[in-house]
Amino acid sequence: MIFANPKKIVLCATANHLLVGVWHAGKLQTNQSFENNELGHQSFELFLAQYQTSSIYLIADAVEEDYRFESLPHTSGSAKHELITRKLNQHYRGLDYRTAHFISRDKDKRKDDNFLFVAISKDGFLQEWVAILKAHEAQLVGVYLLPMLSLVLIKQLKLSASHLLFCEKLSSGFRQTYFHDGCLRMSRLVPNVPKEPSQLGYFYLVEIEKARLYLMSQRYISRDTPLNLALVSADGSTQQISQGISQEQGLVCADVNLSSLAKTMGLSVKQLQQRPELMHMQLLANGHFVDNLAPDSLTKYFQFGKLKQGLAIATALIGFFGLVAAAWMLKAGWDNKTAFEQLQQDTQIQQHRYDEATKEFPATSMSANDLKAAVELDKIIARFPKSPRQMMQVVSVALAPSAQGSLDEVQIDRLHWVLTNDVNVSDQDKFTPLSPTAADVQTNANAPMPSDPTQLFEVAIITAEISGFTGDYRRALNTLNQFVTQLKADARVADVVVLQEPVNVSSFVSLQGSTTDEQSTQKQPAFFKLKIVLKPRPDIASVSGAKSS
Amino acid sequence: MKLDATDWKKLQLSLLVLTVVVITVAVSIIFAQQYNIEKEAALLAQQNQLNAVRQRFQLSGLEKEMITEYLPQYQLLINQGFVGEERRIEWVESLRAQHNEYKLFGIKYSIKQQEKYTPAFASNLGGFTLSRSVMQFELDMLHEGDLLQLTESLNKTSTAMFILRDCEIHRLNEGSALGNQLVANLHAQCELDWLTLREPAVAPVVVGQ
Repeated sequence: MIFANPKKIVLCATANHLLVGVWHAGKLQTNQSFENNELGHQSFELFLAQYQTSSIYLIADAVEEDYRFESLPHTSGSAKHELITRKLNQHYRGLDYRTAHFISRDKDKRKDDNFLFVAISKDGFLQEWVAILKAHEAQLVGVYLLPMLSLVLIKQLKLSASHLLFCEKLSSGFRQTYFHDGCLRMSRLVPNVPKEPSQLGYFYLVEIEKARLYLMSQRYISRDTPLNLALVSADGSTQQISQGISQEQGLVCADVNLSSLAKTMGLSVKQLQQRPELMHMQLLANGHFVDNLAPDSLTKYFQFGKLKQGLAIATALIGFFGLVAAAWMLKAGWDNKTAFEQLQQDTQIQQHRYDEATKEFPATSMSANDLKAAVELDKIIARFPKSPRQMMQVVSVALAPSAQGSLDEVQIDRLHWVLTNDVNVSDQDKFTPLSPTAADVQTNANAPMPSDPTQLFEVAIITAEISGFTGDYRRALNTLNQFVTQLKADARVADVVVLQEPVNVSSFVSLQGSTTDEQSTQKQPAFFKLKIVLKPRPDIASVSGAKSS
Repeated sequence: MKLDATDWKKLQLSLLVLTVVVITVAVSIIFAQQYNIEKEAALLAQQNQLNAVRQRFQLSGLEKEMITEYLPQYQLLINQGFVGEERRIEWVESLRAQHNEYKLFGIKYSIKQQEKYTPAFASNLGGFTLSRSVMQFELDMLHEGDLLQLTESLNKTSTAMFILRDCEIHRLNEGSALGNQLVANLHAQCELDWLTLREPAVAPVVVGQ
């Protein structure tokens, strides 16, 4: 089923009989003829029963043929199909065997497509044979016209005359096929060929003249057109006739001997002399396909067989390649498994070596890395300051008397110390009252200080007041500025920010007071607030983030 | 070619065989692929394991040196109470001892529930788990030196590690200088983290799973 029957059956149907040839591997195995009568039909049925699955090609060789040359506008795809179908219906309505043979495309003007529409005008001689084929559901590939195979033959024979009349003596009669520039234009069959060889020359002469007149009437050629004749025979028997025609008519007439071509195709001269159609059948069997005239309904069994064959091939290919792919993957998996087992053994060996080595280690259940991690962590934590001593020292140094003067009036009321990686630490001062504008100042002061998660800072928020404040704001501000300057002068200080001044002289806030403040016995306290950030100590600078609560 | 019902019937067997073959092939490929992927993954894991064991063996000399170097220090940490269970009683006793030694005013304290602690500075904990218990304490002071003495002495004598994170000191009698009498002038509120390390559970080394 997957592979089609390699035998090919080529049939050649004429008005009187059916010639059948069986080909295998391009070689003619056997041939026989069936008369077109009831006995012949029965014999053919018996013959056909032996070749149910073989492909069958049917050549029609009869008088009832029609040829029409026509140019059509150039189209393609479905438009082309539609146009050709319409033309076929126009010319050959009701005929079963018809086709359009593409000849050429014009090179000028509209570049039309030239077609030769051909049909079998009366298919009575075929009907019985086709009915038998249908009854046996035979694998009929197509129905072909013999002159179309003559076109293949002239190409094999390399006959390239511009106007060529190809004359063949077949078992059905004398066939003349006209080719223009190597393209089929017309063919005619004269069934009654005289048996006497002496009359044959005159018969050829007359029929060729008739054909020439017909070609002139159809305007294929003019009176002056040099028409080349080719008389075909299996053994060169038409040589004398061709010489005679050349002398009588003044035409170029070549004698074509098919013996050498037949030999290359495996046909004997004797076979060809008896059944000249075998040459055309051989060409078809060799795969020289021409246009098929059969309707789809006739070739359906062949198409269906092809479909089944395609399915079988697809099934086989999918099965084969799929299983090969699966086998390849399984093989890869198996290789991986083998490699895995090998590695497992290697790992055990290495582990054993390691276990042997660890016997000399000091006894501990902890790994060396864990031991190191614990000790290193202890060292890191040990480096953190355990009291706000350094911050207090910085503030004390700043408040100590110096060349710039004394800061005795500064009194620290509150110190909030934090060890953190976020210098923008918030401060909730519940003990010292702040002015309503203090919050804004704090926010503005905090904003520019970026927090660095890789550094660890000591930060202090100091709330202080000017003791003995008499309402001298200028002096209070000077004192604060001096205090800040002293703090900044300390190398340990990274930054000092004034969060609240004794008096806020900013243009963006309101200022209230009385000119009698200095004489008043009820003095308002002059609070101020600072944020001091110390530089990270060298030994803990690399430690990131202490406060993460 | 148009197919009618009879044709489809004739094609049934071919189509059925094709379907069966396609399904069989698909299942075979999926199974084979899955098998291959599993074996490939196992191979890769085993290769990594072998590399790890091989590296461990090659570095066993270094490991021995590290153990020799760090084990005594580690045992000291266990003795100090940094590694193992936390020792709250000892912390409180230590605090009380400082109070008595330096004749401080009363110290109020509270220790919160222990919690897991993952600070940024402890990026490499090995297999350990770091925990902390937050302790808040407050005390009245004669002067600021009391606080410095308290926390620094705690660090010297304490049996565990801690981080002093926050201290707020404020004057009790605002606007006046510190007096010379034995009355509290300052008040301090502080927060510190008592830290403990928990050892990792010892898992047996499994080879070639």
